[in-house]
Parts: sequence; C-alpha cells; structure tokens
Amino acid sequence: MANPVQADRPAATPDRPGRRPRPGFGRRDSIVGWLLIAPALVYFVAFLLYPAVAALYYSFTDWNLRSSPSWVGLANYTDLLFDDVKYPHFWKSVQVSLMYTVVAVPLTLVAALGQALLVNAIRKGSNLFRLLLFLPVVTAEAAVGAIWRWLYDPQYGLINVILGWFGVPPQNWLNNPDLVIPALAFIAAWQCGISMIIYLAGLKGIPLSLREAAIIDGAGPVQRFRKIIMPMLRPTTFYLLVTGVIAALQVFGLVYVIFSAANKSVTGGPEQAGLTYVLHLYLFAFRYDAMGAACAMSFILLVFIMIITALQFKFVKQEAA
Amino acid sequence: MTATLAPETVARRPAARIRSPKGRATLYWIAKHAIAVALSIMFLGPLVFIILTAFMSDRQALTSELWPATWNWSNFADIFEEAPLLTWIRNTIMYSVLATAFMLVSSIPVAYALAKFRFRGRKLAFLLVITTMMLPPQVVAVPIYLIWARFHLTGTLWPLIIPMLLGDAFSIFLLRQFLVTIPREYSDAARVDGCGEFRTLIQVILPMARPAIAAVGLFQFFFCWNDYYGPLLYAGTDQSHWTLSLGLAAFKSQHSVQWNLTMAATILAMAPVIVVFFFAQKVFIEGVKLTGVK
Repeated sequence: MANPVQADRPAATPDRPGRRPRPGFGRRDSIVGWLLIAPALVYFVAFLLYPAVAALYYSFTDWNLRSSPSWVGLANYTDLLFDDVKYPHFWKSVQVSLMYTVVAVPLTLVAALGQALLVNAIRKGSNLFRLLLFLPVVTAEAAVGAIWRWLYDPQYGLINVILGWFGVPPQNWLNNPDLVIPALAFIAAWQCGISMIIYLAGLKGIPLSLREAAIIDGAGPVQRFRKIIMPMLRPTTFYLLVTGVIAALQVFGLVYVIFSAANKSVTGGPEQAGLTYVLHLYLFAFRYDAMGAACAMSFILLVFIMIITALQFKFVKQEAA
Repeated sequence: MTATLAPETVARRPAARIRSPKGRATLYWIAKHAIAVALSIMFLGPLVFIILTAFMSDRQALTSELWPATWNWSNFADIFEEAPLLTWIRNTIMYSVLATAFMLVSSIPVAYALAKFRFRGRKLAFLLVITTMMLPPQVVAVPIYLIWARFHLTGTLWPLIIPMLLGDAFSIFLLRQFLVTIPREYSDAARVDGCGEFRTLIQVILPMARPAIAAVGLFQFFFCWNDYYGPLLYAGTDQSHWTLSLGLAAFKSQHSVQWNLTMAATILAMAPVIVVFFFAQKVFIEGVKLTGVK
C-alpha cells in the first residue's frame, strides 16, 4: 500500500498514469486519518482488547462475583470437559448446538436458494413476494418466539391444525425432545430472507450470455442448474455457509424466549433438548454466577469456531486446487 | 461459443421460449407461479393466523377454530392495562433512536478515514474492525458487564447506548465498503477548491453515500428495536427500564394461556418495524447486498 512518502511524490503513481499530484497528501493525511479513527481505537481497547484479556484471566479463576477471583489454573477447562458430575450438561449443550447447526444451516441454505431462484424467475409481483419472504427477518426474536410457541402449540397451534388436515396426528413439537431441534431449525429456515437476498444478488451476477449459451447447446433446466448456476454461486454459498455456521453455533435469543417459563426459570427445553451452548453459557454467567466457568466456556467456543472456520477455508481451497 | 451465440443476439427472447414449444413454456410459467403462490401462503399464513388469534376472545383462542367468532378490538386496549406497554415503547424508541444517531455520528468519520485516507497502519486498523465484528460477543460479555456494573449503569439501557458514541464495527465495515467505491476525484476536486476535510466529508462525500448511510441507519434501528440479548443483560429486573422485546417475552410467559393477548402485544411490537420496512425495503435490501461477497 502507498505510504505517505510515496503519496507525497509529485510524479504520477504507476497504477494510475497521468494523474495530477494530489494536494495535501502525506503527513497531514496520517494525522487526520488517525484522529478520525481514534474513537474506534478507544472502542477496540475498552470493549474488545481489555475484556478479552480479562475474560481469559477469569477463565483461569474460580469466581462467583461475591469474593475476589482465585486462581485455579486450567481447572475450569478440565472440569467442563471431563467432570460430568460438576458440569453434567456441558456435553449435552455441545451436542445440541452441533445438531442444530448441522440441521438448520443446510435447511436454511436450501430454502434460501430455492426462494432466490423463484424470485429471480418471476417477473410480475416479485417485489411483493420478496417483501413477504423478508418479513420474518425483520421480526423481533421475542416476537418470533411468541409466534412460534403459539404456532407449535400441541392442541390449537396452526402447524398441528394443518397437519391434521392431512391426517397427521398432533405432535408436541416443543415438548418432545426428539422434535425440538427440527422445530427450531424450521424456524431458522423460515427466517432465511437475508441469505435469500444474497443468493439473489449472486444469481443476478451470472452473465446472461452464459445461460443463453447453455440453452442453445441444449442444456435442460436441471443441467443448467448443476453445471452453471451451482458452480457460479459457489463463492456465495461458501460465504453463507461460513457465516451461517458461526451464527448457528451461537444461537441464543430464540431458544431463550421459547423455553423460558412464567417462573423465570430457564430449562433449555424438555430433557435439555434445547439447551444450546450459548444458552448454557449465559446461565453460568448470569444465573449461577459462575464467571470462571462461563469465561472458559466462551473461549472453548471461540477456539471451536476458529477451527471450524479454518477447516471450511481449507476444504474450499482443496476443492479449488 | 461465439458461433452458437450469434443467432441469440439476433433474436433476444425470454430464455424459456427459445427451444421449448409454447405448451411447455406455459407449463413452466404455471409451475413457478404456483410454487410462488404456495410459498406466499406459507409465509402469509402464520401472520394471518396470529392476527386472527389477536382478535379472539380468551376462550375462543384456546380452540382450534381459525376465524374469530367475535372481533374483540378491546384486546388491544386490554394489553395496555396488563403491562406497562407505553413505558416499554418509550424505552424502545429512546434506545433505538439514540443508538442509531450516535452510531452514525461516530462511524461515518471512521469509515471515511479507512476508505479515503492513506496512512501507515490503515490496513491494521481495518483488520481490527473486522476482528471486532467476527469475535463472538459471548467472549467479552462478562468483563464488559462488570465494567458497567462498576459505573452503576447496569439496570439501565445506557450500557447499550453509550458505546455507540465510539462506533460500531459492522456499520463501519459496511460504510467503508461503500465509500471505497466513490472515486477519489471527487474529494480531490473539493480539496483543490479549498475545502477542509470536514467540509469535504459533509458536502461532497455524505450526499453521495446516502444509500449506504440509510442502510446502516436502518440496520442499527431495526437491530435495537428488536434487540433481546442486550436489554436482557442490562435492563435488569425493574420493568420501568424494559424494552418492548424484553417485555413481550415476559408477557408471553405470564399470559401463557391467553394467546389472544400475547398475539395482540406481539402485533403491536412488530407493526412499527413492518411499516418502516415496507417503505424502506429497497434501501434495506441494497444494504444486505453490501454485506455479501465482494
């Protein structure tokens, strides 16, 4: 990148030939630039660097907020991972979050791509259609939780009413441990509007000539989808996959709303079937005052997300090679 | 390739009709519109269902009937007596408006500097912004909470508003992505004409960046209006500091058998966002595209 000394040079820069020297570049640029980003740097130090270091320190301590933190070394980490008497639900919450991610992310991507193809194919009324598909995205988590608690109601909810028309017996969606994850994943797919828009932008980016050439060469819709649309959308899919997995591993608000009861207890659903990792973490930090364990959990999550993301990047690189 | 493309440039007609006979094209047209209508019903269905529920009587809401026997408009008045909704609405507006205004004032200059200034460490600064955006919020939640507890601001919404004075990583990122697409010539010309940095930003850059600014403003506003996690952490147990989201969740739990009232409250909380979204959907959708692959 051009450093101030280079930018000061009156000669034209090689990448943009024939330009006039820009007035006022150089040291002044540096000073003003740093002044402008100074608030963001303060933010970075106060709300990211310091808290991250502090959290790392707390994760090596035993601390319930009432006394001062006492150093326990790696005990929080080893207890979380191996002591299933002290932390009986740790692995359960890992399993719930992984299951949710594995089910919800592909379901969301497929729904998003399907909707994007449809919006793209329709000329008339596609704006209204798009608006409709997007409504779930701008709906508050609390509202989504309330709505779906009602839609999934075992006796009077819309889902069971509709299934009843087809002779399917009513299901107790949110109280049957086996159905909790699919039910939550379905809500996620219902909210796939953002991914749909990004897919739509990707579809519009495919050159028309490419499709037309394929049609002339005799490719049917299925072949066109497999040979042209899918490969051209690969970067989009990868982006949505990475961000989707990261988001799914952190799912919290919706499960919290859905599984919180009148007496303010949060259980994580029937037999902890909805106890996602971050919900578990939240409970440790803000219900049980186990700050050390909560911070340790957050770093385990961070490391896990970093590994998953790195693996995804590596996988794609191999594919490309 | 070029040879096969040649006839195409002569007769540029809708793709589906080029090869297939007319009947097949019609079938295709019917199929895709049928799916679209079915999907629309799928998405509209729940919305209609909750609206209908909101108008039912207490008793009818607990049946599998879909159409209200009587239209109980009073449900929408009753919820105001059941819960301090006006206070929650006021808090939600305060949080959303202040946070959005603060974010815009603080983030635009940072994005401008990252996009248009050349200085040592700029790349590093941009990297820090991305790191801030990517880091799971759970990692820093506990220490940040303790900072605010030290200032005795937990139990209020201020811990969610004040940091916005220092910028928001996601907004900075988005604005920067847009600002780099504005050619340098504009700000250079302004400088030649003797504009200071500040005037260049206000009079030249801001008007051009209006779509991006509108998008990040909307995102922030929607995020705050819908935010559940933030108020859950900070607003505490005193209902007079709650937001609509927080209140709605509690309302749902307390009135767990009065689905008509819960749905009335839900509609009330959703309505402003849906109205704003309806009028600003273009801005919103352009903004989403800005977040995508670049």
